[in-house]
Amino acid sequence: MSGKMKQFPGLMAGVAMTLAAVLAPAALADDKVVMNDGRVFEGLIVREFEGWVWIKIGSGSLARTELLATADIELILRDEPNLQPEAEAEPRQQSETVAIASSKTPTEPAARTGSAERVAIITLGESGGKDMVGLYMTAHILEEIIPALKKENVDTVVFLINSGGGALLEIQRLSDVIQDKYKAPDGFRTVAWIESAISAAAMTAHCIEEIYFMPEGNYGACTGYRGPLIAMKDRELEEVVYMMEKVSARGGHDTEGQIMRAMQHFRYPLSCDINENGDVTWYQNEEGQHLVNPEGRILTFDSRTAAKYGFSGGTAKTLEELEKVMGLTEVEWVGRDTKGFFYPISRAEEINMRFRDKTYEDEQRTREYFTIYQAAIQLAEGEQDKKRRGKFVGKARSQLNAIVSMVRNNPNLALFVMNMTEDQFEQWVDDQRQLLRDLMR
Amino acid sequence: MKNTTWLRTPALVISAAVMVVAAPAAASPARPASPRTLAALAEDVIVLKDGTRITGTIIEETDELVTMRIKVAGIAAVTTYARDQIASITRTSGPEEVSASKGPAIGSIARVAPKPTPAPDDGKVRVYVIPLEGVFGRDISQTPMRQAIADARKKGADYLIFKLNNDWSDGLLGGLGETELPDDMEAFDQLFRTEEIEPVITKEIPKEWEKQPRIVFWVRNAMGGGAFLPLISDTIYFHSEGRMGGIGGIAQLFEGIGDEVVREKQRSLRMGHAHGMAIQGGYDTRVVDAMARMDYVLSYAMVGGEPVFFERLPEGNHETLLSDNGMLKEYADAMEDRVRGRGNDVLTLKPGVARDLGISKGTVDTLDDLLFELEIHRNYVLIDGRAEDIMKQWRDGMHDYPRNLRRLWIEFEQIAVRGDFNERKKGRGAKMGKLRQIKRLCQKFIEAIDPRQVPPEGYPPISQVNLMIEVFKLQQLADQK
Repeated sequence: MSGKMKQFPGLMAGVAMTLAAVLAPAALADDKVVMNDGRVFEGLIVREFEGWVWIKIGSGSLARTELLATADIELILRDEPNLQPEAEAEPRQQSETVAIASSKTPTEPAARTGSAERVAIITLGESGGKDMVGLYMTAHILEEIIPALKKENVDTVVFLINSGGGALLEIQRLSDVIQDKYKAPDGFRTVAWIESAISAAAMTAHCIEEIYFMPEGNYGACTGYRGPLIAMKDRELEEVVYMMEKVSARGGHDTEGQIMRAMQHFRYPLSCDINENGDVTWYQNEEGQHLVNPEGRILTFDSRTAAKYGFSGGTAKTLEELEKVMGLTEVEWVGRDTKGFFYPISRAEEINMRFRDKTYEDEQRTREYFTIYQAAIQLAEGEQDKKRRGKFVGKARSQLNAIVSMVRNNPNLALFVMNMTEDQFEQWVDDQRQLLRDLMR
Repeated sequence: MKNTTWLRTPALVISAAVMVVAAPAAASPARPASPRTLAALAEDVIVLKDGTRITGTIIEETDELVTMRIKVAGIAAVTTYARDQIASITRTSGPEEVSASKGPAIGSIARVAPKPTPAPDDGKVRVYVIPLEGVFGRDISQTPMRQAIADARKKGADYLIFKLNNDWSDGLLGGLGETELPDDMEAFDQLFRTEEIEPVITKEIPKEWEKQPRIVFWVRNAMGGGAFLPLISDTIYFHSEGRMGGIGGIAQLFEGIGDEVVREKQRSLRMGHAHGMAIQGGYDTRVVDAMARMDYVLSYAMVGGEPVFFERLPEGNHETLLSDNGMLKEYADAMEDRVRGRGNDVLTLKPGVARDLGISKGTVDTLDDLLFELEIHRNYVLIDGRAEDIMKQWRDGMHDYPRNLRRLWIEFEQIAVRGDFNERKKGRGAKMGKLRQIKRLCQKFIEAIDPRQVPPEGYPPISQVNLMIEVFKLQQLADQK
């Protein structure tokens, strides 16, 4: 890899602009509401609830929101996301007509009944090696998909978590995005549905109040370590324990973060009392009525213990069971039925899955990108003929683009793969682009 | 093994066996039959002249003899009675319907209405058997299972019977595969392989089958990762030589590596996963703890036909020890016991205990017996499926994989890149073609290859193969006429 590092602020700004352009959310939707009296309102439907529709018209300081009674509405024309299901589904048009009170099935995404809660499943991690916190489960992508969730008028986000943990550095970021963006007043009802949340994955979910388990679910084992099972110790450990005390306060599962401490270190036993109303009082000792975790052990909840001690709101294997434990009486699952998935794939989830797939591919091909890039540079440097040199520079440029695309998709790869901060990476890219230009002189 | 005074003595066991022989119609002395089991046993009734009442299924009759399949203590058996010993026979199936209360003549047959059974189009329950044999995670893998399940779906199966008998021989340790490994061999971490396999049953079937089949596991050898797989089903039967275990040793996991608190984390998360398996099938997670943790003590007693567990040593002769704390010297299993599968540092489930604990619904040695236990023996059709071929084809492919990979690499090496420009270009093209073949072969079997052995014999991984292809492309770019 060429190490020529030069400052080119103009080009850097260009890269930033390119990144910004690529990362910009899609334009706001153009929904149309046709009234019984013939009037048409065009804008973004921001809310629908119990017989009323709120539509935001215009933008910026000129934006206004109209409140329309569904009884006065003849039909709604929605701007639908262009979903591309894996198989079997019929091709759909960009916009479609949906009757207000039409019934909703998972195969008919984005149709809305008047008062039904619109719920989207967002997966955090998946099997097949795509589950590491920090790499496949990042604050970056959670933030990226928010516009799509809003565009799909999602009320409730269910994070379906299946991860064996990962990087400590991502926990606070994830917790902050969930707390500040998802749980915000203009955000979503935010739910965690646990298939497996081990270590950093459990620490991420811990800021969510409403947690349900799958029957096979597990949650805990949050001991921090590095390398060959070397535990975090002393101040470093205390800092992480303190961070999780604050995260625990967000989730409100206990009063002082006792549960998480029992998951972090075996010096923290855990017991509890459960009164006749089912209220649980936690103790960081073994004195409570129920010994949840003895000293010398690290706590991992399974679905039974989580329910028994009131940590989970219930256990659900299917969407129908989840509706029940969540107390949803009317629900619209957002997204399209897709072969191989038991839940509908929303536009936001599609983006999320694509992010993981690309990260996975890039992770596998990183060495290839850099090796071919370096080899092409070397060939170019040794070539006197400008036309032939141009072929090698072109090859190098395509590899560099692959590297840029990799980090654009997942900024954390700059750190994990190249041990660079995002700023350092941008600088490095600028230098490499200059190098390629120099080679063509 | 710690011989406590509370273990059942041989005398007790013998007396129980005598009682069973003397009263074949009695339910298991240890565990009363469930209502479903009683219903099954109540199908045909023979009353002997000495007053003995025998329930079961009449499977053959001659002028002189009546042959009946009965079930005793969860074990199916076939018995024959001379007609001159029989006072009456009451049958539950067949076209005639005669109430026993009408007082049939000696040797006559009374019939009652047949029991309703699930009703597919042709009126018969369609049974599909998937044999799971070979090395767990390698020969028993998600891709062939998915294909077999798809075949079962296509053929309208009502029952999916997974006949599990995974290889637990010294072949796993590089031996000739002729000697069975003892129970105390440990392969707990195959749990994670099980987690890759089980969704084809727990997730894909509910999603893809309109009418849900009944999932049944019939266990002969369920060892290592194979021990977890049946737990996802609420219907497990054991072969009389069945065993489920080989997942001990988690207490010693990573011994000598790193810090104890991190080792404990590793144990904790693994047990969290293992509990999840047991919970899916509706089983008590303490049984899995006893199977996995050598430092875990578990006993049980049968109370009202149900097991009651105690996380301590037995405190009476009505209690039975399942696992003691083998980490303590005084309780550690003796080598002689470990070799013979008699140890109790960790629990290996055998038919009797598995039935007591509610893991196994019964012990059967033939498919007929299993169908009898499932109460579908009178009205089933065995689907002539492709499962056996599918599983065999995969096994053969896995068997041939290292050889085929080696052959491809040799062929790759033999392709020369020399001569004039066109010859060199052709040579590189042939090399890249061979690399793509290698890649396809690796990708086909990658799910079933131990990550530590991908690919075998030190061949480059797929990512390296990709890189080599790209290098050839670059070389071609750099080449000149």
